[in-house]
Amino acid sequence: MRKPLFVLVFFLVALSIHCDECACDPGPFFGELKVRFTINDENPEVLLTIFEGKIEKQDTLFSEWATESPVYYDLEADKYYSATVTYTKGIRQIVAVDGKKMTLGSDDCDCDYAENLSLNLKLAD
Amino acid sequence: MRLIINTFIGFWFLTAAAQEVVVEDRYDEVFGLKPALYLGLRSDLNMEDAALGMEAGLMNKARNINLFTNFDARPFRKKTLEYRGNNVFYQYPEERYYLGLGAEYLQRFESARLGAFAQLNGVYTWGVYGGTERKPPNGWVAIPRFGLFKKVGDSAFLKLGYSYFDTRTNKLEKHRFFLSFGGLITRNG
Repeated sequence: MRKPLFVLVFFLVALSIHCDECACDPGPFFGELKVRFTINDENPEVLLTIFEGKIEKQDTLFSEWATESPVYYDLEADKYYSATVTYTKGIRQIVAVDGKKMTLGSDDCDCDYAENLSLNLKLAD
Repeated sequence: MRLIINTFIGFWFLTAAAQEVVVEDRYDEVFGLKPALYLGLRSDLNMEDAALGMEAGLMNKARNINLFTNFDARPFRKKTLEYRGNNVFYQYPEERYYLGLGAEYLQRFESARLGAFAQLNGVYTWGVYGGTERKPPNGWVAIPRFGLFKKVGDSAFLKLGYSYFDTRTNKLEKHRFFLSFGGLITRNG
């Protein structure tokens, strides 16, 4: 008789704790954008540009010379971000492009949170 | 009287059910094998690239011809270069997908554990670049494949072979290994 009562009390307590934890942050949500690129002898410093949306929109958020990879930015989630890095390879100029959407995840309480995003602008082998 | 009628109806029902089971079990003896549905996982890969996907098909009564449909995708984003003039290249990460139909001939699949296969797969391929509105090349390609199959148990089979796979991605090696694992999913397979 005591065991079913104990189980019932346990579930009631668990349910009440669950409800307390389900106070969701209304947002906006910010996630980490990680950008990886190549630094080598030919390209000790590269021009990195971050855009909101795809590169054709030319909606530039940051443009800076970078000497170390990776670099990180805190950006608002639920938006598409793209980036370019310009390299020299012999007589060629290579503009590396990448872009993805920084998505919103959803936890056990159905509360939204920002998923981190990684862009890979390393030179292909 | 009611007992006799009920007994007769019950007996008649059980007899009919039993006959149905017997006919079902002996279907292939009476009518031959039924066409069979099958599902498979498959991959075309080499050191530079890979395509991974599923196929669903219908195998004929003689078990030597398959007609199938397939969906495959590159399981990662591949960096590709696009020349834009004046020694300027753009490097984009490319996703790629394939949707197609195909036909396959299997040699002695019904009787042998090991045999040869040859197939022709027509696929529509399209791609998506990351970070840009530009689109990579797309269109129809024909993929020939041949190799060996081996039966695993009563209804599963493994295939290993060669494929000539033009992904329409710039400067990619077109010769690939083909791997597939599938199984018949209908009875009387």
